[in-house]
Amino acid sequence: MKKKLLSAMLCTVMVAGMLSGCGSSAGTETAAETTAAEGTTAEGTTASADGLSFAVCGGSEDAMVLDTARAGTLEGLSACRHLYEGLYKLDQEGNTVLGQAASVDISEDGLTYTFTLRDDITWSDGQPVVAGDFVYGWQYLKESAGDYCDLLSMISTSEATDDKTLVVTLAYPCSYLPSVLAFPSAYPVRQDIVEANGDAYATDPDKAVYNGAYAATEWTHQESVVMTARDDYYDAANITAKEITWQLMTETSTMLASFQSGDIIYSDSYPEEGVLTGLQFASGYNTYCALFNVGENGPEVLKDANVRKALSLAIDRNRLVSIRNLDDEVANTYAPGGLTDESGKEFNSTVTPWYSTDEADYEANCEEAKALLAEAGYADGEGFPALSYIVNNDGRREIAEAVISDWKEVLGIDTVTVEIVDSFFAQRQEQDYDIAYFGWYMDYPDVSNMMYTFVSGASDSGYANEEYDAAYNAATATADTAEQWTNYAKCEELLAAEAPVAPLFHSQNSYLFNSDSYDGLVYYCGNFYFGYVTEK
Amino acid sequence: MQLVIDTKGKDWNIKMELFQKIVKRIILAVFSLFVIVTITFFLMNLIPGDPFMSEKANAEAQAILRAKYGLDQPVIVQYGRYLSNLFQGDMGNSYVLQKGRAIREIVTESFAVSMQLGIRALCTAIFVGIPFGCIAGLWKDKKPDGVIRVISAIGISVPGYVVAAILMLILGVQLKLFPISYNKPGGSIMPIITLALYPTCYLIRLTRASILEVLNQDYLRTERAKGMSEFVVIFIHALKNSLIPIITYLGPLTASVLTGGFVAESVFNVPGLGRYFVSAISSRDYTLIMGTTIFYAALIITMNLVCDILYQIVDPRIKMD
Amino acid sequence: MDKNILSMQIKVDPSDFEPLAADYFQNEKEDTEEIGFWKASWRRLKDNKIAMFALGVIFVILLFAVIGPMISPYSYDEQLRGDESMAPCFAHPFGTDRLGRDLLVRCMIGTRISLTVGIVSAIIVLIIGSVYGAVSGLIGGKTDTIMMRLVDIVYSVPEILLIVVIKLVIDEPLTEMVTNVAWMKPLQKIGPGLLAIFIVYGCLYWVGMARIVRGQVLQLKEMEYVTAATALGAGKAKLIKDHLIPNCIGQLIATVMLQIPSAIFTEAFLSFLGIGVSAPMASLGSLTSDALDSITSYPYRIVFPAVIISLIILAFNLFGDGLRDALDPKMKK
Repeated sequence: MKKKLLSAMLCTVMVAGMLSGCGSSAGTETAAETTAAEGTTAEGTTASADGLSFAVCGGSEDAMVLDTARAGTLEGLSACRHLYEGLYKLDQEGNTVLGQAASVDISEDGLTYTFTLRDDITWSDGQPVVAGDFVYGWQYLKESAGDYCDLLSMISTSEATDDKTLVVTLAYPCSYLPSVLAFPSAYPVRQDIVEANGDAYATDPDKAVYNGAYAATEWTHQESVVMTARDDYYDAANITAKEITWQLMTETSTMLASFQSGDIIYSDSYPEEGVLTGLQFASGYNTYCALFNVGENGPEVLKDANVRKALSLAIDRNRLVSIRNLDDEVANTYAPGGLTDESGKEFNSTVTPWYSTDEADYEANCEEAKALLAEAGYADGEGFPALSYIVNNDGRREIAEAVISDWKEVLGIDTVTVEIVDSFFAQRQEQDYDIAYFGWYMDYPDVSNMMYTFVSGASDSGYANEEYDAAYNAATATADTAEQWTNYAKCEELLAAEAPVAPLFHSQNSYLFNSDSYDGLVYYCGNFYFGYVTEK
Repeated sequence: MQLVIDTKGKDWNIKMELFQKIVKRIILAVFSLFVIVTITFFLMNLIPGDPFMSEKANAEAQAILRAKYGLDQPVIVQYGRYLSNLFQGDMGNSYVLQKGRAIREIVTESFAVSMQLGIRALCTAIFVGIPFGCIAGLWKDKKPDGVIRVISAIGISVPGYVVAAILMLILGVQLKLFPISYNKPGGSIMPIITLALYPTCYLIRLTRASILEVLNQDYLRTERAKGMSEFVVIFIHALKNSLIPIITYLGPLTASVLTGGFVAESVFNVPGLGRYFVSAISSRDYTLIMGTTIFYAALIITMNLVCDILYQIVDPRIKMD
Repeated sequence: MDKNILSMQIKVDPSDFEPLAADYFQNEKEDTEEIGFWKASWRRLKDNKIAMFALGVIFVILLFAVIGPMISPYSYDEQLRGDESMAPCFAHPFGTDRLGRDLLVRCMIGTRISLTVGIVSAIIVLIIGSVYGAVSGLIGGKTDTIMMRLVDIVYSVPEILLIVVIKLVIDEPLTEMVTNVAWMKPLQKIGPGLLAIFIVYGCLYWVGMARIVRGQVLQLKEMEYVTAATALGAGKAKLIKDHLIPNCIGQLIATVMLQIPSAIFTEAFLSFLGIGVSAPMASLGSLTSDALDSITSYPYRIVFPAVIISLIILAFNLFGDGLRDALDPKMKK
């Protein structure tokens, strides 16, 4: 019952776009007469006449939300990328390229984008995709109040001047706009279909229309979704996978067993433990942390910065990484690595590490931690009150257990217990906890997205610091990267000094893929696309 | 089975009395259902969290959704609205698990799957359990009895999810005998085994005990003394009479097989109602929680009612009360 | 045949006789009623080889759970650095888990917890069920009808659903109480998760017990000797003490015995759902469900806890059956 909730990355974008004919057919009989390039032979798989067909794990039923405005999980968003397409999409290499738009005209000040749509784009019911569908889609996104309803906050107006022209004005220049527009939440939506189906929109294949490379043709709830390639999709020639079956599973052990038995060729989740063949890694912009509740409802003991620092220093981060055995990187800053400027310089290289994560220095860290704890009045853990450390799944529970074992051995604190709680996110948001798992998967690779999480009022830790807010605001107000970074480095410094959070490690994105027999998976920042998969 | 009745009038009286009792029971059943609905509704609202909690959702958006579905109103108001909708046959739409789909559709669709699986498991249990139980009972303390008893003893003592995991590992991954997912050909075999194992073994034990008891009864001795062949004694008299306690067990068994598929369904990916049972709670899908509760409670109540009525007809000595 | 037998002379000397002790009859009464019953039951039980074997298994498991952790060189939550994910070997006969904890000692503690869950839950069910059933049966009339309707309602509740809902509802307030309320602090060691399981189980499974006890009470009420006792002015308390309890005890003990495996199953199911005991405490259920995740990589990890859990359930079932037959020979089923 583990699910990687909402760890979607905005930086991701998918689906290639080009020209091709319009056409109708709701996609039920889509044995595409494609001139598909590479090896589209279908051996050992039940394929349509000349295309590849395979099954993948699409997470659980609740992740499989095929309404772009309401999808919030990686699996759901990735599935949406197959069915729908935005102004931008991802190509075979995972780069953001124009999708439904044929061209874009950007004004001098970077505030006005004028998109011209392709002529050969259609919905699966045969109607052409028009600029108004985007305008409606963005309005629908806001009204639906889904997880990503704020995604397009930089857009001040959008207007369809005619069926093929869309004029978008921004509130502030935004260099990452293409990534944002390639994100499923920014895809077009057909007003008439939404209004005809109401709440039930996109809950069954016949209750939605699709403008992407695939159309959903079958949906046995709690079991599987079948997507068939549309032959009236403009780039159908390059889509090699003709039929994708998304098996909906809840148990990670079932996912792994199905993968090992060859039933599925891809799974985004799997039991975290054990040596797995087929496990692949991709860089993730993530920091896995232990969050301390320093807010009003938090325990008195955690209001002392010395206690928090002691707890953080006593953690043997290298051991956590070796226990997980998932190619993680030990964290000594809050921001993850890989956040670079134009010259390729890393943000982390401008930040003073919070502490040393060298294995040789661990002893020294422990000594410092003991001293800090003694200073706070809990020498050797004497009199340390009972705290609970809440997490939301088994894998995270084990890491938490390893952490509390360090506290017990190094600091003599044996009053912390680990609890898997069912209402985890609600409890964390309401600051109804002592210590909690916190793992921020960045929505786009910009330092602001990381630092925003500790702005007063925005943090689940209840952290509030005017100095921090000032630095953050100064950074976001400027367009100069160097100046931004100086301010963000200041934010890091404040976090290091007050330690409302203990960063543990930066985790990788990982997934199971049968790379022995298949090739061509597009995987970018947690999103996956199977359209270009070929058999080896 | 047979009532000896001298007059038609008496017969009619008894029927009338039975009819009245049945009506009374049905009224009580409806009342029970109402109480269960009420308790579940309020308990459900006591669980911390709501359907719209998630990692990245912002508070504003959550408030909008809560308002849209009326979850910002006092629980008692929500309860009143739910009841009035329910009386009009509207169970609402799912909030989370299948956003926007009608509960009625979800429940009927997935129960059809659960029932199919359940009935097959039930048949397996009956057609394997009873014959093997008979064999064990009739050959008491002989070799087959020993083997059957050991196997059935193991069968009732292994938790369901361990059975499912072992089946999946050995038959699915190692030997690749059966597919793991339900929607592949042959995919229903492992979930059926998982679901049927416990009831089968329980039935074996029950049948065996029941046969042994009947075999000791005086009337069988009388039959034998009368010169009946051993065959007639066993197959006509012993089996028939030892079936009564087994039939009494079938009611609860059916209910538990139909409602207890959670493990088999989630491990083997079966799109049945059992999976919603638990996942609806953990995602706080209020309407779905209510929908499954009402459906299952109604199922169990009906099953109990039918059983009671059947007993009454089969054995009028049993007081229906 | 000796016709003279009646005419045989027996010499009787008064010194052959002694006066009876004052409480002789009282003792005799107890001998035949009380000790006789237990002795006879014990004899019947001793003859039942399977039940005796099951009793032996229970005893061994108890030793394993109670003494085991005391003589083990490790503690259940001790993470041995460098010994992570070891296969069974001499130092760790059951292997170690991902965090380097010895699985043998965790199984011992898990057995202890699972047995505690089983026994405490069964006792809770016994208390609630028998009080409820006895009250309902003794008072009778309208009260009885209403009380039994309630039992019917609880009976028709889908139990899995209610177990999970109640568990989630009481988890938080319990955690708070355990950390804040002074007299509950000692309970912190066993954890709010475990307490919640007791409550859940107690809330749902008392109905079976209540029905049995009520049935017995009603049956007894009809008995002539009870009518006689009532006529002679025996109060309700005396009735319960002298007649009800001795008559029910056999069936009650057997039912309690059979309740234990059912409670252990329930706990295992909750662990499977991830809402069992709080970490780092282990139960057999949480150990098996943890092992489930890594079953393809470390299949042996599921074997030990699964075998122990099955042994416990089997042993209690068989012993319970034997006990029922021994204590209540007329109710043989």
